[in-house]
Amino acid sequence: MAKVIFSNKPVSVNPLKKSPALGAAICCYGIKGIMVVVHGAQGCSAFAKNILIEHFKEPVPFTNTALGEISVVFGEEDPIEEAVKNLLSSKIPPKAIAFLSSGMSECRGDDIESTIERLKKEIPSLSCFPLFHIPTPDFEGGLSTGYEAALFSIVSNLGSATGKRDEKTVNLLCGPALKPGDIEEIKEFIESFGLRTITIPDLSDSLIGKLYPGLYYPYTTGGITAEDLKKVGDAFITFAVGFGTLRTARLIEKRWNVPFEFFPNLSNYREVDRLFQLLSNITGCFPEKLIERQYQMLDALADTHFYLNRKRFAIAAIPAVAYEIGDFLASVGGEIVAVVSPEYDPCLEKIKTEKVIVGDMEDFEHLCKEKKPHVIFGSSHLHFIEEELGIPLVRIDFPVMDRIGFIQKSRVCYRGIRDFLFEISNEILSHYIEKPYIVEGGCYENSTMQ
Amino acid sequence: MREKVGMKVLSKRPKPGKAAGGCGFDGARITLVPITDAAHLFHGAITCAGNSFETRKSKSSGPSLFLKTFTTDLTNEEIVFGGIEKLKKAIDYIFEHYNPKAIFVYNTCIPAMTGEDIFRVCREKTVELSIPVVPVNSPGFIGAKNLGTRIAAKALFDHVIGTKEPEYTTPYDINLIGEFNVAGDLFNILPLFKKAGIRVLSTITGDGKIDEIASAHRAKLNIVFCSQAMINLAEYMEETYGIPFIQVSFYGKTTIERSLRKIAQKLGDKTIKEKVEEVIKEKNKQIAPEYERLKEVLKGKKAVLYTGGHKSWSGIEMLRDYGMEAVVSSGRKATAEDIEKIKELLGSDRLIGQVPARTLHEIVVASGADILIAGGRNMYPSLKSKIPYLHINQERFYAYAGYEGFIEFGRQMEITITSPIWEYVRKKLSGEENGKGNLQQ
Repeated sequence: MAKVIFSNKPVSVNPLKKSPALGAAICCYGIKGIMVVVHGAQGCSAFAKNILIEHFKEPVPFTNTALGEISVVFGEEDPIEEAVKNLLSSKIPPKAIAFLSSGMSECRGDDIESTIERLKKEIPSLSCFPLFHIPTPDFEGGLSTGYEAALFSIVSNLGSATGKRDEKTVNLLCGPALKPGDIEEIKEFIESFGLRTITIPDLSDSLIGKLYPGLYYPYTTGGITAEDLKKVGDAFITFAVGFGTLRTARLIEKRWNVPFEFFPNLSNYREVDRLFQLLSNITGCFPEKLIERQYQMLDALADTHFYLNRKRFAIAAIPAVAYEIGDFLASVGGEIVAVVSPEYDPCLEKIKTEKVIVGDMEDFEHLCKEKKPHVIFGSSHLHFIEEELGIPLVRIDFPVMDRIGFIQKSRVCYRGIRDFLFEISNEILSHYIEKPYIVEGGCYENSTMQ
Repeated sequence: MREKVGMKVLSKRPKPGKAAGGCGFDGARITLVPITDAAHLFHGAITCAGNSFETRKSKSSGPSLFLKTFTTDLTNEEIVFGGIEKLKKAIDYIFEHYNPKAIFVYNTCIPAMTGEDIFRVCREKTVELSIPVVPVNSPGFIGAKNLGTRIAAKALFDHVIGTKEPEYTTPYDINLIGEFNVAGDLFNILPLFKKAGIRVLSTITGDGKIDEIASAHRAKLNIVFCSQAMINLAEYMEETYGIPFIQVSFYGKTTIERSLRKIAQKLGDKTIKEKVEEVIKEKNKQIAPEYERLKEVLKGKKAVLYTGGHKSWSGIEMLRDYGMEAVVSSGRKATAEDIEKIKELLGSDRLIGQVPARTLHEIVVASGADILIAGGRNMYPSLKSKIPYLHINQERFYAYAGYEGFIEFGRQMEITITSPIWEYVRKKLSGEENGKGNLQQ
């Protein structure tokens, strides 16, 4: 529906784009006990680590192979081998290791894949150890590209089947648009029907912070285990939620004959109904708790329709999030007047708007000045547009550094949709509806609500 | 004679798989980006500019151009066919749309490996546009953050300093070097100089302005804040322009006063010395009520200090000003002089190097410390270990320099140490004895 236009500037001004390695790392954090290693210079993981910590408000395991001048020019002892040995000989070794490539290592032509193969042959304890590689050159794509590559690599390298079909287990593949809170909500939704989920990646278990007895553990304290990943092929169905999951769903179907159902957006109530219907058909259950929540959401739709229908909205986010938010807003009558995304993905064409620009924050700012949206949707980085143009910003996407509890919140399934409706309506209420009693000059000419 | 530092850095190559610090590009970026009226253009693929966007909290007194991040965002094809043309166009675009006083062009790993000649482009554009277009050759693989700060300082010395004359000079003109105005630290320091009749000719680089830095070569004295970053700049300026330099710190009451007196001594003027004493007296009076209250709260508390450079010893003194004890401090990223100072203050058995977070927490627990004072990456791990924590490095939201900053530092310690949640949280989780429990994951 939308026409996708590439911003043709020679320079990106305030880039919206994050690196593929960062996206891959997020996906890997859904595995329990993992350490993520970028094969690159120190900055290749250091910057990403800082911003990940600020977004998730959690420690994240992220390191690198410290590629230096000597290793770049002359190629010294294999830094990958060194990294693996250093990690495994730690006082507390990780339970899984993911190796990401960087622009530099890809330019050098380092073959991480074959190094890993060789190490697995040479070191007996590694033969069954979850050690795998994800290609993430930073000159190709961005956060979503890396996330998608990681999801595929996790299933492709660690997935397996025992050969016994499990009629109580479903695979839940989560796309890059889903936050830990969303994944928690979807898991609970499916489990209400008496089913078990193999959730990949299970960010709800690893990144929704928990305090434990004892001291800090330097790897992910939760997430799906390598053991559970070996049962991916046993599930009777795969639910692929959000763009970025399809390639992996097809892999599971092809390799282990598990059919899949794709849900592009569980922030859309019709899609949630479809999931409910499907699960009911499968199990014969009608969980009362969920029906209760559905009624609550219907009430919220009625209560908030005054504030959302016919309003103008602008979105700056990665493709999967831009699609999700756009589809959600359209479902309550919102008009999408501007969309900017840092990367191209075919799903951008499905957004119900005139055109989508693949570009940066400068492009988005210009569009906002022109189209005057009531509310903008984007990451914390867009706070400067909020401040300059006086348009409220609803925080979505990555990173959200200036809010606490963001990743725990949900905007999917009945309860998430209800809360998200409230959040947006409150922005409209506080910025446009509650007028002061004193009107300077007794004239509404310059009223903001137009 | 003190041995020259130049481009020599202390850090060894970190271990693959255990590395945690920043790269050379990171060092260059944090050193120069605080220059507020310049444009900062990162030549490379998206990681360098995209992931580092808004991770540093240097403040400005006005200009906002430095908050914008510009990058050539090189993609596959551009790397294969060369990104130089794009770089030229990018410089033109910035010049046309943002009217910068200067453009810093940072080289990163990929174009450095493919051998793109950014120096030539910068030379040509400097002539064409009549503003400094400064090449900063800082690919991440050259080494640690530290080396990046030196490269940045060299670029500033070669391309900016000495290119303009100040409108007028005074016998009390100084430059501040190596203070990056994180969280607005500088805004607590500058008024002290003003009151003492000392004129700050330029700040390098916190809240820095190109024209001021360009005329920095006419100062009478250079004041170096950080013992590591940019110390080479002070050396070059001494060699070339004969400007002497001294090292100071403005964290903590005792240290601030020692530093102010040292500067007055060096400027060698009776009136300045008298004025400095007046400023110290006035400021002491001003902070007295809150200072006394905080001392009551914090007296006798113990802290583990895990930071780097000069903060590893000025931090010890700052804690002592509050009647607290630093039980352990770290000598990471510190010079031999810094380490001597720490040993003098604490004894050598309480000095630690770079350790993993978990080991650090074991030290905190074993030493019975009430608080861990460390960099941002340690914050959430420390909370997981249920240890009261305070930011000391660049991720902090509050200025800790100067007298106001010193009081803020005390208040922030009070907030985390005295929180009522700790007792409840620890009791709730005391199924295993605190500190001995091991997460069996």
